[in-house]
Amino acid sequence: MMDNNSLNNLIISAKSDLEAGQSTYDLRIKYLGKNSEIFKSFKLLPSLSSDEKKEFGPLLNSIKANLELLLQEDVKTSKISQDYTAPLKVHKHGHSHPTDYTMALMINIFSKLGFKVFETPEIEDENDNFSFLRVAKDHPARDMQDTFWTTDEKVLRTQTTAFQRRALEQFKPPFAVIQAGKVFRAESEDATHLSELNMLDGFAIGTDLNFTHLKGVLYNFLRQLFGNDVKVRFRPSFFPFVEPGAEMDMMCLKCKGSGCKACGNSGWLEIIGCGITHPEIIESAGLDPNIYHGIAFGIGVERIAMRMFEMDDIRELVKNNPEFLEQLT
Amino acid sequence: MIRSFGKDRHSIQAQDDSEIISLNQTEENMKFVKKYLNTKLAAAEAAAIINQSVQEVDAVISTGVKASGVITVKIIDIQKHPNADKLRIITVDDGQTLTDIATGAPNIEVGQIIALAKPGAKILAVDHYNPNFDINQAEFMEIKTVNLRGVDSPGMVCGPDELGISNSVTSGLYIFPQNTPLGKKVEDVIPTTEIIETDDKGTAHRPDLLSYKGIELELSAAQNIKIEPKNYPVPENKLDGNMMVDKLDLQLAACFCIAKIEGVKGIETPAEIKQFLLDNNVKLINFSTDLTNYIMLLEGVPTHAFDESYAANNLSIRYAKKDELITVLNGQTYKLEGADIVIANKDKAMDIAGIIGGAESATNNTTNSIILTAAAWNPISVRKTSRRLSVRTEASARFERGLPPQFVTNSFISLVELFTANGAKLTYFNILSDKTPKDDSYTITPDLVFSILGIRLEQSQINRYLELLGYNIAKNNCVPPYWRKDINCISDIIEDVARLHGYNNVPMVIPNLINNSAIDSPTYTFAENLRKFAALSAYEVKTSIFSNINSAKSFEVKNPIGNNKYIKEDNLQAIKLAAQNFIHRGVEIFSLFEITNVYSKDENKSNELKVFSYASSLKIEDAKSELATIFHLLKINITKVKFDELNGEGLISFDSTVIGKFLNHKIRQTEIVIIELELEKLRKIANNKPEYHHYSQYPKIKRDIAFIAENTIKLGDLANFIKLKSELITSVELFDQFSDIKFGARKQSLAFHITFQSDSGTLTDAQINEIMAKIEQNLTQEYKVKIREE
Ligand SMILES: [Zn+2]
Repeated sequence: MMDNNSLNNLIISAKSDLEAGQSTYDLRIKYLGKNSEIFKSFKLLPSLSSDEKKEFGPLLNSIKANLELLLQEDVKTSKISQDYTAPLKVHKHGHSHPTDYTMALMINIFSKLGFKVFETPEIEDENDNFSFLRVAKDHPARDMQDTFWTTDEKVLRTQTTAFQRRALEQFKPPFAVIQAGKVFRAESEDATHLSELNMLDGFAIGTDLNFTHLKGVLYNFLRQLFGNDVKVRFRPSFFPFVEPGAEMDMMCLKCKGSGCKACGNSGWLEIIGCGITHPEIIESAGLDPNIYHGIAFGIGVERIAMRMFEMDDIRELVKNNPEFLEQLT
Repeated sequence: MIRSFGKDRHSIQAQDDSEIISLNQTEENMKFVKKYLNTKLAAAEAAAIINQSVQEVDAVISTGVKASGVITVKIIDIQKHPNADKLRIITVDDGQTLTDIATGAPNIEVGQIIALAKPGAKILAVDHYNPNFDINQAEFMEIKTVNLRGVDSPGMVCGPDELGISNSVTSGLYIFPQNTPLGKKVEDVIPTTEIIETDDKGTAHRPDLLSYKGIELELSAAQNIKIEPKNYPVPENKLDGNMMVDKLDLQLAACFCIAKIEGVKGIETPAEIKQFLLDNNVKLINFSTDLTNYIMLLEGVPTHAFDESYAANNLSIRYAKKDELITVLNGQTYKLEGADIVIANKDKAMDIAGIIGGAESATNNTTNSIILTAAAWNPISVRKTSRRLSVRTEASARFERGLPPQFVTNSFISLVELFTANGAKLTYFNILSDKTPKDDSYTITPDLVFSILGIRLEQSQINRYLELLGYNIAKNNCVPPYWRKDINCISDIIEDVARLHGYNNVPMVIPNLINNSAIDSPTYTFAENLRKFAALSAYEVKTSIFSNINSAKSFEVKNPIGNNKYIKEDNLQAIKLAAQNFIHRGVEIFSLFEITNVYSKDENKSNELKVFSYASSLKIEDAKSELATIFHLLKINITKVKFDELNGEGLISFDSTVIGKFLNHKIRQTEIVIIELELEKLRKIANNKPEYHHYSQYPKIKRDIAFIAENTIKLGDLANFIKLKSELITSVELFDQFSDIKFGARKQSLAFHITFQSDSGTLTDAQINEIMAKIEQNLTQEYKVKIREE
């Protein structure tokens, strides 16, 4: 017995078989072959009454045509896809943001050295961002022109170094933590400055940590990031929360030290601020600064990204332009 | 000046004239003329040492002639050019031969001595017609004999820009003094000044480094050369009782020095001091002012000279009265506040302490007697006043760092000596100073040095380093020099040892951090996985924390840069803007995501929430399956994830817990779906530990069902409805959905695969038919569907 619905369902089920991945060759046999429903129905057609012939004749033809179309089309496309010489084409895909990509890479390197990720808030108490880090109450860094303040006197942290107080509160030495994340500076943006940027800070406290270790960790980091032949130098610098304080420079990768535009003709790039944790910070955490020593460092993530990708305008990193985002990562 | 890791500049207010002089040095950086640093080193070598052991050096600038093969010649004749109005032919004499040169230079006269670049000479190619020409980018060009409008010109006369001694493009020629010998190489005639420009941002704790003496001492120490400190014999106090401050308020200044000096009128500033000031780009003013400027640059201590007729009586230092007015040397009048410090006479303020002097009481060429003052002003007060008034001077830059009292008094004494040595007469002298004894003796040992630096140094080596820097040493005890107000603990001293030993001479060792008590943040690990999976199909974007949307719970920023003064409470608006950017850039098919914090406050408690923010231009079902893939990779059971929609927006839940929200937004012609999920909630439902599930050994049987239904029907509910009809149903999957007018208005055809499986045996057709019948019956009753019968 023939009926409309079951014939119509042939198309639906052929479609679903196709989607299920059955080959069109098999499906043509199943739906159009000698044992197929449609073939059998055509064979039955002569035995029907003329009214029934009028009803089912066109229906069968239309279904057969539809099935042919359905199964034919696929044959065609599958033929094209078997052209192994066709150029490579990527499926719809995404991109890591260069900043986050860089950040993940940096964290990964420090993780391998034994640092653990420790995350803290971005909107912080002034104590964590300033006082605890020995930035005095009247220090110009706290001024409105350098720091974003909320109406309830909280700080949009200006440095990931703000995580030191919470780290000392939460962990018993020895510990080694890192954090990468957003920091904020109330200043106008240009080719080398952003007001919302990212920083990575490292902080380790132990009984036997000293300047040689600070240098070792950072040199190792740069070698893993930029290759074994990076050249570095350390020179004195001042940060209120470390003593001695240092700046680590990396020899310009572009000009190999002879001076070019990328390095401001100096041959060197200022890349990491670092130092030995100031004894007052150890002391304010209730530890004996004669026993415990710390190493600390801070790295601008965007600055590393700009070196890695040889970019010249930092603002590209916050524009969300697809043409930029699909280039690098 | 901010000093945090990763910060490379500080901002400074618009600059103004210095207290006493107007000069270029009010920029952020000090510029040291190398020849006054008393060193045999070349400028580049000295700069390298300063950079490596003292403070960052920004640049070494040489102001000498850059051109080569250029000689001095005298113009002996000027003629019109036969074929060009703008050109002239000049005849020049190099002492031996005469040469005719064509030139378009405007400022020429017979008798001038000028610079001639002969064929083969190299000068800077300057484009005088391009107003945007950058002289620093100029390249060298070789001079050849050229034909200028029919006249051969074997050479070219040069301007200072072409010689390389000017910072800007100039149109005229360089004119030498009349007594300049002819035929000499210009580089032998124009002296070279080498300047070392230090970057002062890192030394806000070192006022001594803003002086020649300070840098000279450090430079010598780094070369193992000890500079013996100068002796400062204090002049006998000469007090006449009625004139001066007799009590010192230590809140105002840690010391105050006063001297009356008579007979300064008509004294010429010594030639070497004049030259020093000129080389340092300081204008010559008069004897008194020149000497105070000289001492400030040399020793780092600003002083101020008043005309005696204004200052002699009832001189005092005090806080300003509210709204007190003072007109200062740069011509501006400022309204003062109670926290500002001033030097005053009995009537009014004469000087804003440590910043800038008043105009009225200033010395001039007719002044014969002066009152000379110096003080160790309260650095905080100076800084606050300077910032509020937007006046930053040479003086304020130094006082802000906090000058130690002995630093000021010693320098004052040497200034007074300089006056008397040049013929002026000291008639009054008084120093008031903080007499609080300071215990600043420290014990430093090789063990202490090892504990911080990780290197073994002999006691004698440590002591030598410290001696070079001016410390007083006795065995393992040391007292820092009076000018080092930055030495306050043993670590500060160890830094001095490290600087002289050389940071680069400390070895590099990788520490063993295995006994780390911290553990990796699970949130970070999860977020990083999510980020990687999402980046497989979506673009990662970065949005701003600031927003123009607020509620009672929003944080508000006191000093926003733009109009967005609130802090975002969710990321919906931010990611929408990013999506907008994609559409404006002509990208129509995209998905975006960001993992970011959103912020709100409750009763001053701040909440920071990490969210996964997603926006897609894909059709909702495709966007959902993109998301489902991410969930799948995170091992989140997608069958438990539900979207509850009303009018294009709604909530997303897992089981009965709300995990996020979504909404629809149209940008131009493109429909965007925006989804926001709470990261911690996702993390909790992500089952990272795979679990073994028992599964049936018997075959699965698949049946299809197709029916006509209202097109408002909720597909999720429908599938669930079917599934609940029997425990034997393992899955219900929509595989076809389409509308056709033949189904009637607002009707659609739906088709599902239904899969059956039993744990206890192979299912029979009869069993399944029974369930199918029940489903069909229930669907017809509950959802009023019309089954498309086979
Ligand atoms: Zn370079």
